[in-house]
Amino acid sequence: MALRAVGAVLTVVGLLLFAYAFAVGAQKGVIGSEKQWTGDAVAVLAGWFLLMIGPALYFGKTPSSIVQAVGEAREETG
Amino acid sequence: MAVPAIAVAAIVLAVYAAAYTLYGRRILERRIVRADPSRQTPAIAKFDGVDYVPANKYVLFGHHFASIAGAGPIVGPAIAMAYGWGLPLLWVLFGNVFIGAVHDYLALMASVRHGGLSIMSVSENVMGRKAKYIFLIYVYAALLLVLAAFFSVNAILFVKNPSAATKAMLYMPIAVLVGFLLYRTRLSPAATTILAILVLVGAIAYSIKVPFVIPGVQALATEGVAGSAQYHTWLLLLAAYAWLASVLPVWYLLQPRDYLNAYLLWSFVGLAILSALLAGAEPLTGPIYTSFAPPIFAGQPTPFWPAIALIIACGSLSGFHSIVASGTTSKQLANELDALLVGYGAMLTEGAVSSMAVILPIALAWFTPNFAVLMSAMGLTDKPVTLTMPVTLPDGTTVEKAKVVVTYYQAYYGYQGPAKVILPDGRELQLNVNVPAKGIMVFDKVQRFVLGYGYMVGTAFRDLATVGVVAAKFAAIALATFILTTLDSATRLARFAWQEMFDWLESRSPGAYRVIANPYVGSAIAVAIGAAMAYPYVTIGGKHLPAYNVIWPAFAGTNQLLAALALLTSALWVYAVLKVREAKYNLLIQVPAWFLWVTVTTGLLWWTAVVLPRLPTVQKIGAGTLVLISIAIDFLLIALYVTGLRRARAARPAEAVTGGGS
Repeated sequence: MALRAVGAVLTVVGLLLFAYAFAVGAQKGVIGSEKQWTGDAVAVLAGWFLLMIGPALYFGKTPSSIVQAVGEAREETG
Repeated sequence: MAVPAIAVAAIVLAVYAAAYTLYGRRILERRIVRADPSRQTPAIAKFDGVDYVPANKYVLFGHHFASIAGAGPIVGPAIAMAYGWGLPLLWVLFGNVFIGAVHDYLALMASVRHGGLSIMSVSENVMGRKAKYIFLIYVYAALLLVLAAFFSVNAILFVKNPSAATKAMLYMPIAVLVGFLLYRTRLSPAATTILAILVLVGAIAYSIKVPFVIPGVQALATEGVAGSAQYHTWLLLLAAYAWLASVLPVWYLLQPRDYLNAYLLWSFVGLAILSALLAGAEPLTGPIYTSFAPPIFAGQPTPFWPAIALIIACGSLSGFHSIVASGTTSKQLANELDALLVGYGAMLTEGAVSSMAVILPIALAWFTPNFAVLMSAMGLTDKPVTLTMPVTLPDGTTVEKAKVVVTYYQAYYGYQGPAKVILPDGRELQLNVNVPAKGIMVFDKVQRFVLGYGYMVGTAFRDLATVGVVAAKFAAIALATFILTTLDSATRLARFAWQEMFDWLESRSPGAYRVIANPYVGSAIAVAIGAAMAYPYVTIGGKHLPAYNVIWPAFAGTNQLLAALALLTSALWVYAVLKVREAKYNLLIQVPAWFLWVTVTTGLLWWTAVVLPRLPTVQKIGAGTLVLISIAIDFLLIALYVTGLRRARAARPAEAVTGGGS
């Protein structure tokens, strides 16, 4: 349960960071800067990792549709 | 008489269609492997929810294709155009049909019949235990080198082409979303696909418009190397990504991402085919043949045979493919009948990338008045380029290797007039020069591909200034996609090889084995070594280059040697395990396998004698050592192969080794 909660928080934070960074990018025509670290650049990088980790923690187990398909295939192939 | 593009396109498509149905389906699938849909594949039998997970055949095709297609199918043929377009095209077609696709399909099926183990572990069954571990160590080392190269190439790509970084940032979360929609909602696959394609097109459009740049962490910068802070920062971020992506369950990121990839890559190949057909009577302006031995490696005359195997890898055949086929792909194959599309079909598709999206476009754009329109629209007309060529000084003496600075336009079409000349001693002069027309060969190998692709599509749609430019940018994005996906697949494959390398420990010390074979540990070790090889800069021949370049020149040879050994292993599996004894079928596999082995071994010896002595000292030592080890392993494994073949011949059918026979 705790992992699911952490996953949900990471996913939401990741989405917010992404939304912020890509909105800023659309306005400026560029994300980040070659001269200094900017908030949008950090937000993209942080959001990137959070959006890969967060949903994995939240959903955790293999989707039931895959497990069911494997079960059926095992029955068919003996 | 110039050959029209449509004629070449039609021949290529006919060859691939015939190969797939006549050789692939009728002979390989039905007569040799005897694929059986009622046999449980490892994805079903050993399902673990992480690595062994069945996938839809189109999803798996996308994964396999995206993983095997690094930069190889593009860069190799672009270099080989120095022979003219005829010989590279012949090598791609011949290599695809009779070697590469057979190699990939048999490696996949041999692995499937051995519970998803790698082709290296399959070799134990036919060549003995020694062969397995020698093969595994060899492949693991090669994978670490691949990892180092792909870390470095990706990091450089993100620094030089920030739009590729934007796309990478958007792509992975979109892939996670697609996985969610595919596996956890009631949305139909068709609706998911349409939605995914729309989001993907939007992401690509956004990426082209909005690049993502970072300043890098200055503390990581290497003194005197421009852009090194960005390079090092990207490299560390990519290392973290590769580790994470390689330990996540395949259904979570890898499968949906490659499902998306498939559409991107099919669009890329499909647009090339469509454009080649629409270009119709447009003549190929490039020469069909220039020379049998143009200067390619280290400026030395490079004979087409045997060197072509070292120049064109993935587009024709590649040892890396057998590791993918028997690594991630075989663990996701849901049905044996899917293997033909995935193993044989993906290789033919990769060949189509080389032939239709690289060789044909470059041949079309080689030297044509209309190319000026594309150059202008891409902002290249007045961009300077430095050529190394002989010049005559005012006192009448000739300097053989002077640097002449002209514009790309002047270099493409030829130029007579004043230009800046830099002499080998550093003096700069303004001299009258006579630059012969170099055509598209004036551009580097990646630019040749990008511009050639843009030119072909732009010509087909009668709009070079807009469609041509968009197509060129699309080609650059497709190349970036090929490269990034190979990175995390290679990390996962290195983990598999690592785990198989220590399987002997499982019975002797289960506790130690659990630690060593732990997925997080296995991936972390591979990532750490790969990144460490790519991280520091070293000085090679006066240039600052990432350290893996010390041994990288040897990679082409070691990779192709792996292809030869994997195909021989597969051939032996067909003979000894599948007990296919009809000479015509055995020869169909054995002859190309031995031809490849002779070609690659001769190529390595030629490379060692001619190219190696001309490399900078540090590469002579690094790459030279690797090549010598490769040659030693080559002959060792061939000796074990011959022993295995003799044993198989001596064995009565009932005593033949087991592991997937009929």
